[in-house]
Amino acid sequence: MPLNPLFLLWLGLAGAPVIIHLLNRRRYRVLHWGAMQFLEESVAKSSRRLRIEQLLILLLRMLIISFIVYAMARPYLGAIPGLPASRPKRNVVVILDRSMSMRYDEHRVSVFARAKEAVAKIIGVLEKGDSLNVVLAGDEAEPTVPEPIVDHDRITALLKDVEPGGAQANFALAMEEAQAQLDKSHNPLREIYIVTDGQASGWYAESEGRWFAALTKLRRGSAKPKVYVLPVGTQREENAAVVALRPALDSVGIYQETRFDVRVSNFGREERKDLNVSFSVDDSEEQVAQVDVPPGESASVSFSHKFDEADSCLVRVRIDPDALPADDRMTTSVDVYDAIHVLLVDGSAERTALTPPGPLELALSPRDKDHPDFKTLLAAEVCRADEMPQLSTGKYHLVVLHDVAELTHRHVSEIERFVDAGGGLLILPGGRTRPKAYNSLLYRDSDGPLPARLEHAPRTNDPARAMAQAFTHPALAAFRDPKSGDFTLIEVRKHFRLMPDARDKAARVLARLDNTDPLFMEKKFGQGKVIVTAVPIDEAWTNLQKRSFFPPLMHYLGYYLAGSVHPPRNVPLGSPIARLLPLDLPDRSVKVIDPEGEQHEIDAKEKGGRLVATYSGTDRPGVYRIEEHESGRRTYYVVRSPVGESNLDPLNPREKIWVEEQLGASFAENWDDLRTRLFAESKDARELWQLIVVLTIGLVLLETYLTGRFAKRMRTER
Amino acid sequence: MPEIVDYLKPESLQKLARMEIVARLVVEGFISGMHKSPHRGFSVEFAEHRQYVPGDEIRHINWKAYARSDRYYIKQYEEETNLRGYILLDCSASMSYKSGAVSKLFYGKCLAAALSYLMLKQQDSVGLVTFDNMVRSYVPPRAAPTHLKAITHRIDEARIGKETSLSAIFHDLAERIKRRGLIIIISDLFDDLKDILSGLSHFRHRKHEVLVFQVLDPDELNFPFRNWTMFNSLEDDGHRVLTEPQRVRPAYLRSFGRFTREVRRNCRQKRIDYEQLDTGVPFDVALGTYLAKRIGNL
Repeated sequence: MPLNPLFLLWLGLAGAPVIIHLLNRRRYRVLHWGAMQFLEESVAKSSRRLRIEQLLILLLRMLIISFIVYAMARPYLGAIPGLPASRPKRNVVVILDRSMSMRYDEHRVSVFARAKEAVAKIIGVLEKGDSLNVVLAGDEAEPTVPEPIVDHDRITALLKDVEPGGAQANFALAMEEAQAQLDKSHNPLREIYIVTDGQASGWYAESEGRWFAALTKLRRGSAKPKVYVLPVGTQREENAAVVALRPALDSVGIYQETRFDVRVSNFGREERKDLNVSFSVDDSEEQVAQVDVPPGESASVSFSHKFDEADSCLVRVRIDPDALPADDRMTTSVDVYDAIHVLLVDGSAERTALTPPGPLELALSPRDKDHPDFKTLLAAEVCRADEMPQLSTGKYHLVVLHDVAELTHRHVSEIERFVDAGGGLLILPGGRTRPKAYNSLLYRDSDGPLPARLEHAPRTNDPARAMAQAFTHPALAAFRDPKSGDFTLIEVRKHFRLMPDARDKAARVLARLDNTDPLFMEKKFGQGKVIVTAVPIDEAWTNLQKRSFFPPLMHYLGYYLAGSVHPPRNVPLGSPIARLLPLDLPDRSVKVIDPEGEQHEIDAKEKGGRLVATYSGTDRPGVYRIEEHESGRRTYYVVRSPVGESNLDPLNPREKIWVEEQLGASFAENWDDLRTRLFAESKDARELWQLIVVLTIGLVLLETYLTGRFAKRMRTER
Repeated sequence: MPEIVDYLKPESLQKLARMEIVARLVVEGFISGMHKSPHRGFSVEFAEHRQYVPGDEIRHINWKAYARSDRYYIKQYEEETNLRGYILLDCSASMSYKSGAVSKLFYGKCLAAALSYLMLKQQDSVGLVTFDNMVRSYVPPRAAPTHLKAITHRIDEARIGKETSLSAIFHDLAERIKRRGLIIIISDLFDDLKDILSGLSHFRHRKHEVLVFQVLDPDELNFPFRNWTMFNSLEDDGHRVLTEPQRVRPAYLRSFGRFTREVRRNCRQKRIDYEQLDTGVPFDVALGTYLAKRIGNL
């Protein structure tokens, strides 16, 4: 018998008569009394009868309160012979899927439009007094009105302007919200209708973690709602989507051929032959490539582009449009550098302006005697440890600490702030390095930026070698092929043992020596990245600097470490976008232009010594632009829909069973099927509250009669 | 200025410290209220003449008789046949109960003092026994007017004692008091009915006249309590009963009524005068009862 469970909480009130009775017993007066012999005799004689009378009255009063509470909870039953028919009021919440996949065009009508028609049909069968709310299921669950209402026309009017979003539906969240909405209405028949295209991706079936809150609420509630799933749209056969677009290197510089990798997936059932993939940067001419993508598989295609301006750029890719056009294009925002500024802090104290450049400096900034203008993207600047300039100026992208003995507290806190804000740090400890100082200042039991504790490794006669690995790390991916650089040629005669803390999830080993000691380790610290090597660039320790792949290795490490563009330019739907501004900016507000071209003025705020302009209204996928008023400098941001939305596969039978079992949900074939079921289930239901009210009145009369009778007997016995 | 009869009201006497004054006020108030002399018929009366024998006091020679008969006669008075009264005042803990201004014990004390004064004024001899579960004080009967001071002093000193043991006390006193007399018992009689009656019978067996004043508080008579109450026994520490009084009231009143009816019926059978006094009732009822008894004995 479903009930309105919130009201049942009031059943506790049934204990009130007992509590009042006990309180009265506790609040007795004390009387010193002489005639105890008569009192004892009378108490002994009357106590049994009194107790029975008291129990009877207490029981009646408790029953009366319980009945009132029970009646207010609006219980109902199946048909009861002889009772007048009175259909219980419904408490209905419709969950409307507004994920990106609902934009799918089916015979020129979107699935979302069909879903709205289905909602209108559900509203159509509701009767006067039935409460209703519609929860829009995107990445958030949004009720159309704060609580269920009986004015169904208002809900219909509100739904008219609702369009599908760009996100994935989260049905776990939507169910949680739907149950919260059900709890706000007192109508006894609780029903949830989920109107969806049936796509599996928003259900997170079999993921107990995501469903934890909703399922806990569902299991704990005494009155489980009936849950119906109504699929709209027919089987969708075709959909190809651009699922990835990224530069091959983390840092993109001007005047360099930059490769962009594009991935196209076919989620349909038929092969897409000669699918045109068009690539363009800003307003440049499109490059087109053709790919064949078998069903259920992906194809990769690469395009190259040479940027001739250091600026924020938009890279676009599109494929031939299909029934779901929203995922047929992808855009990426890229910050193009004219140079990556590297500060190389050299630990050697003897260094002067006349000291010739060392191998590390040369590797970072190669020089060509014949071409004095030759320069690479990395631009190194060398200084002694005691001359280290301020890092907060924002000039440097990467700091390299080579064989630095120890750092002052000021330097440590400055470096930490630099990395935390997205800067890169490469540490090469050497003969001068004092591990104790590094461990206490930079490692700090895994709280600091240093990825591992430094320890001197015992010296061995045989040099260790780096291990060959199928590197997956972006900074080392180029060396997966030994032709690009054979790591086994790296000999290490002396090294630091890098001792990471197993519990520190931010630290990981990138490359190892054949004695299993780490050679390179990385740690993400704040928004930035730190890599530490087990050796310095020193012949006494290793032959690394003599290997031909040494300069490219240093460059890849540099690109990787300096490649954290912060704040990120490409964000998922709903994540805020932000721009760092110079502190001395006279006008502290910036302009945000959203994908629809609407302008929003936002004020930048000082945060951690920096000026940050943050915009949170990224609820639509597309390109956003932040523009500074004075300079007119603009930065592009791309807000992306989740790639999973492109996969239109429906729930498989196993997932369907999980949903049915966990939610007690019932999948309808279509609207006609659902309507038949609703009619069959509701026609025999009867509300019981009238019967309970009659019983309660009877109990009240009985209580009054008995109380009067007991009192009268007391009076007559005097 | 209060009338003297006001002192017949127990609450008025609360303010007076000494029982001697209380006694005087009560009795004088009572007498003036009666408008006739209580002295008639029981003053010290002449009984007979007897012939003078050497050793008799010369002042007792009746010179008028000598003038008539020329013989020495001595006047003999009724003095030796005077009433010997014993007032037995119950000082057990249950007597301390009071619902209004006056406790049962205070009421009993006033009553005892007043009766003593009245008896002494009539040249009767009067003695006092205070007791709880044993005799606490004993003043032997004397008729001298100065004896009032001794009696009222003891009454003043009487304090609340322990539990009641009426039967044992009554049997003990019945054995101790050799000469016939008037035993006046002032008590709430809260004890076992059988024991009380057996004690009273013992007095009667010894040919004593017995007058019982059962002093009760209005609460004990009406049991007017309503809300939950913890009744702690005055006589037995730790003995307590928690109950809702209005529900046990009928049974209490039945039980109490049965007890007093039995006492009254048995007293009547044994020709014992019994008077139930409510601490709210003025003393003239008690004094009137006493006088009726006294007249009846003449």
